[in-house]
Amino acid sequence: MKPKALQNWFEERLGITDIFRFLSKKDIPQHKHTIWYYTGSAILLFLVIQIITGIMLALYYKPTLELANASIARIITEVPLGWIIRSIHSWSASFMIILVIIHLISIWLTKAYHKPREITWMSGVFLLLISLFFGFTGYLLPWDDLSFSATKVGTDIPRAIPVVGAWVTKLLRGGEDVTGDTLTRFYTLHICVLPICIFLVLAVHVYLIQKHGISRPLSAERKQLQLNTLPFWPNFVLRETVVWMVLLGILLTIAISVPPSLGPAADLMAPAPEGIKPEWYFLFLFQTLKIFPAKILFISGETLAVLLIALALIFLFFLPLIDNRPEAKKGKIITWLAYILMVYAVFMSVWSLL
Amino acid sequence: MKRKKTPLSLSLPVSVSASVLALVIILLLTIPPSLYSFQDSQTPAPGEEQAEEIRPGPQNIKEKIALFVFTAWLWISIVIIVFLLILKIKEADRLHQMGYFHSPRGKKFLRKDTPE
Repeated sequence: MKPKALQNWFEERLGITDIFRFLSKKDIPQHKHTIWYYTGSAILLFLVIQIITGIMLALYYKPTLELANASIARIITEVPLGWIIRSIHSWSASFMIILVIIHLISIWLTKAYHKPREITWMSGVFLLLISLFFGFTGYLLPWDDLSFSATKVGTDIPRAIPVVGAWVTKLLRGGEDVTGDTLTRFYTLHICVLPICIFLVLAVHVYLIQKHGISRPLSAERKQLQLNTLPFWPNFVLRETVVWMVLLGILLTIAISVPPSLGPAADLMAPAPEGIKPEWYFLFLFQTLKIFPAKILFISGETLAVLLIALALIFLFFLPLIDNRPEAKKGKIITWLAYILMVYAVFMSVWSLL
Repeated sequence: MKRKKTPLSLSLPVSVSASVLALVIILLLTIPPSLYSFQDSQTPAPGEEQAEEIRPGPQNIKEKIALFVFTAWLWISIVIIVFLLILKIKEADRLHQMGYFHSPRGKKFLRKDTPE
């Protein structure tokens, strides 16, 4: 079959040209905040890297109490290039979460969540939570001292929620304590349940972005300004490729230079080691829980802290409905709230590391 | 019409590529040697529980050199690709400003030979 005939054969069945036709019509507004548009595709790049390296690691990883730590030790010491693959997987997770946070904050500050993009924002918050849960479940998989103790602390936090707390902890752990059942549970969540969730929510998110188009700055919308635009294909895609190349280079350089180490296998009976720390993106929450006193009036300090964190999450999720008039005074207060939250998170994370 | 160039001016692709290269060199120089020294990995003996932390890394000097060569090759490739991409971006922007993508020829270019 000639190449042209083969191309036509696929075209008749898949209609690939329709996608190109759609992309050629898509325009990207050009203004001083255009740079933030690159974060969305960069997140996708790191998600793809995570999937590829995750599949490679899953070929050798054994999610059992006896073999989990030994299989990771084998990956990083015996499997050819295994340590680099693990390092890329670990670092790209951090890169992805940094970019998700930057993406979310840029949307918050540019008020790109206002009508009709409320559900796009909500799906984005879901994606952030799923990414964080990916990190939380993945942290236990090496089954070393530190990850075991951190998971013990992490899964104990929901216990502070009134009424359902103990049940949530039991559900996460698969019993009263962190055991081999927790490991199997976290592994299933990490490689099966969470990928399905992320793809479903991502599909909704991308569909909504295509439906409503890329948001324009609030000032331009208010004054009904006609902004310059850039064709998505090929102009914007070429620019995105430059960003991807540089990010890939930085990721590979860091992954090769600073590979994550592996501690000794967790001992269920041993006391918790010194200096238990969660992943960097949970540090500010960890520190927030630590600074609360044991009892405030009649309520336990931990319960109050957990309830405050839950309230903050609900606020974040419903932000487009709360800030429904972004140009009013309330909108300005909410912008300042974003800055305060950023300073608070950085301050608490640094404090936790000291 | 020929564009005027001052003797010391650099074109955008050259200056961006040079900036990326400079950034990489700074990045490599700022990484502490302890992190870049590639500590040899330790393999636990068979049937024995590993008692200490394993620091992964290249097994021998050959692998260490291979990694340095790979990192250098990677960044040189990235700089070349970025340089070529910037040239493509400039060309695509020029075509966009000329309104080429909205002209019948441009539409044909974008849509290949799609039946109308």
